[in-house]
Amino acid sequence: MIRLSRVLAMFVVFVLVASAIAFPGTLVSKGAAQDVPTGGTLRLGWLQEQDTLNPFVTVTVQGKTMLKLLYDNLVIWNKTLEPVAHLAETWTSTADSLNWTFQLVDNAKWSDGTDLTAADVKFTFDLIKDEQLSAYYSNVKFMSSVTTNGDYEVTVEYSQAIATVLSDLATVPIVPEHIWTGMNKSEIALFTNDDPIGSGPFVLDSWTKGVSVVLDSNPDYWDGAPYIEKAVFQKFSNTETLVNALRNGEIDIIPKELPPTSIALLNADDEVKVTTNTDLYYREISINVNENGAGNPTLRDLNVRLALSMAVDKQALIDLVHLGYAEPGTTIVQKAASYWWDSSIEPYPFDIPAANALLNDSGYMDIDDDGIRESPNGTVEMSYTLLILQRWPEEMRTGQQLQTWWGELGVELTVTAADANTINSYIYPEYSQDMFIWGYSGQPDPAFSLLIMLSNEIQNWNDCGYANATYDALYDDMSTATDVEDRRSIIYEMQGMVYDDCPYIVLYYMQATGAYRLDTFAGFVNMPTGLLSDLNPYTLREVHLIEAEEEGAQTDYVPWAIAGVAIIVAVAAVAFAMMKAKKAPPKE
Amino acid sequence: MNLRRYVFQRIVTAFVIFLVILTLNFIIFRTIPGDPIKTMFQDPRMTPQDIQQLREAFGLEKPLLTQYFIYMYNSLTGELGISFTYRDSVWDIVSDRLVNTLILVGGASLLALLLGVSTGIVAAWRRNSLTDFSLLGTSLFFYSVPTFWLGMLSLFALAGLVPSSGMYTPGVDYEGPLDKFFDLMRHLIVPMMVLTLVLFGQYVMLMRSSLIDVLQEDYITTGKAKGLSNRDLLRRHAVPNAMLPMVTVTAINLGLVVGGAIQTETVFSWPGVGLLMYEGLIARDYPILQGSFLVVTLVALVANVLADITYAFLDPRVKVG
Repeated sequence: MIRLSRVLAMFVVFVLVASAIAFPGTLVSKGAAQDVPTGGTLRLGWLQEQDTLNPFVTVTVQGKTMLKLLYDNLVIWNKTLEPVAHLAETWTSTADSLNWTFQLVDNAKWSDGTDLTAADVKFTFDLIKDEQLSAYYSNVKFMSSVTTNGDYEVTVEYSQAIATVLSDLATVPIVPEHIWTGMNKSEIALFTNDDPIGSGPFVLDSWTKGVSVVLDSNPDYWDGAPYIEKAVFQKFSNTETLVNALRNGEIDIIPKELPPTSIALLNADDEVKVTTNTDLYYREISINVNENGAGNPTLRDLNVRLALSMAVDKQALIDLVHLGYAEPGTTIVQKAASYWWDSSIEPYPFDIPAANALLNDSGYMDIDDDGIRESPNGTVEMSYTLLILQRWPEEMRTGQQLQTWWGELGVELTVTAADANTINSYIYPEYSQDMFIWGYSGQPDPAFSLLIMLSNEIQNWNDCGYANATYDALYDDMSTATDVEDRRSIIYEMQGMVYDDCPYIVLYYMQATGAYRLDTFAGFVNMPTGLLSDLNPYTLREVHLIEAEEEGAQTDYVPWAIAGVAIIVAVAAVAFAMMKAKKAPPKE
Repeated sequence: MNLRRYVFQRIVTAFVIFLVILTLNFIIFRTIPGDPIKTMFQDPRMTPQDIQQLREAFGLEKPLLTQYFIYMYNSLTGELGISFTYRDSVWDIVSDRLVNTLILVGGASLLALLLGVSTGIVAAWRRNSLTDFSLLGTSLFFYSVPTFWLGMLSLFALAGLVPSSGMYTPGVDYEGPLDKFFDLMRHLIVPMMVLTLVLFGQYVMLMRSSLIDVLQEDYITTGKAKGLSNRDLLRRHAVPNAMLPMVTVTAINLGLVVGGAIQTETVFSWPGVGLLMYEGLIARDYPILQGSFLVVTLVALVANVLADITYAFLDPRVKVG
């Protein structure tokens, strides 16, 4: 028999579903008609958020991206990666490059209303230098004194003429003296800076850790307020939901690290645009060449490393692992730092027979016939452990491929995934690893990319133990070469030297991939390093609504009140139906 | 009174178990490789002096036994340390997340219980009929389906109708608490449905078998002979007795589900304890892992104690001496 209660239950469910569909979104209304509509909330989605908003502690790309939105520098990288004026409107320098005087803008303000003055600039540089804050120390260490002349003029005296004045200043964020004064190094390390006072185009509204970051645009920004009212960064816990959120219109943009597997899907979608660009980022195999280390000693032989380099088909890896969204790697200078990257350096050919011949000629024979070569004196096997960062599961395929290729050389490779801390504990201080895969991001100026190979960076940034006195000397020359072409030829020589010594096998220069919807916002800036990065605050500053939003859209409660009542009635109806069912005699 | 003493005993036992778990927690996380300072600050530029300073600031230079007692005292007073990834008090983070999980899990457990019990009753009453088999089949299907699969499927099916992630729409200025409540409901409805469907199967099976057993009892036959209507028989005699095992199972499940909603929370990016543990595991954030394990353990312990006490209270046959 058709029970009334069953019909009732079905009706109720129908109302539930209908009201869910009928629910209109809540719009924060704003906007009079203008040339470029202002207002609106840009919704971004990402998989990893910043570690901290403390400019002296953050080590993640996301953290540095946030810093670019909250703080300013004296100098900024423009859209073609050249350093141009920012807080420093103009500057002059003496002929010997030892004395630089900067005129600051006079209308920059901190987000608590106080003026940004030369005192803040002096304070920032002195703080980093005096407390040796490792985040930016290398950018200020040649400053011998910083003096102010009035509120908007700063003079920096250098102990020697360096080539990187502008790129150094494009890296150091200016922080307010009245917030950071009186803290020593440990206190700074522990300072959460959860309510950052900066001078940048955005101000932090709220950060629900692990969930979302909300930025308000700074309407008084001295360099032109952003058009949007808010930017909301939503953290997603898996890539499928992230990509679907973009397709559904729940978010407007995936600014970076768009998984290559989703690109084909998004390209087919008319409402979404996928962008790619060069990125200042490579991944490499770091080989332990530290003479005082505890890694496999055969790796300290150049011939071994050359042979291994000749048995890596980088293009095949790019196609397999990154679906073509990368370029084969050569030197440790970022390819996107195009002026400094030596394009004439030929990549090692993928030639396993030649690699085998090289190992034979160098005396590495398989003495005990187990398929693994031994060292010339027969004591050490060419058996290595490759560590891979466990947050890059795609690189496990790289590891497996290397196992196959290097297996044909008579090398036994064990591939293990480990987290960053574990890998670091192998490297420092014992240098007990054989090799690992990691990545390096860079700046448009290659000074940092080259710094990691200095012998005095061992136990610090130098994770492979490379020590070459000639290279060290060239680095000093490079730092002080104020003539740009001179500097370039030194940098060409340096990267060639490292390439010939192969402590790193640079696998690929990664591409920055992102995607955005076309229906609500316009003005996205696609430049090297992507739509949003530690070098690109421009997207958020220039993006705007396509059409002004409507006034006065309200939340409609009625469908939801119906839904709520419907749920209650549904449960009651189902329970009632069940009760009625029991009246029938039980089957024995 | 016996009941009072029983309750007291159970609480004391639970507390002792908790202390043992705390100690195990301490030992386990001290044996994990890697320097906690280096993990927390992940900064290869730190000099050995920096590291030493921070070690002292965190009390890691003290003898291990002293560290243990400090740890025990801190844990019992809610001081669970600082998260490596969030650089915030672990207690603050975990307690916030726990509330979120309880909202999701509490609602889903309640619905699963209601749905499971009523379905179980119908299935038991009509056992071996087509109704029974189809109900049982449906429940088993949802019980055995992987949670994340069901979650992803419902996400795709309902794309655009309801938000696909999170608990609230970020960055929105609410017009009032009702507005915020409705936003929560919009985000809650699908994950809660998914979790309910996955959970209710076991209640169906349990209720069904429990009720079938009870229906075989002599006093049911007596009741029928006395002329009680089927409805009264069920409502006043059979179901209450059949519910006893449900109490225990529900309480135990509540303790487990708090940590076990991981799959649902990950699929829907629901900011609860499960997602916290998953991400803490990936990031090797040991304080967060320690803190979440502790909280989940505590909830399970409390749920078990409550189950024991409720059972003793409900069933006069249980000896509490």
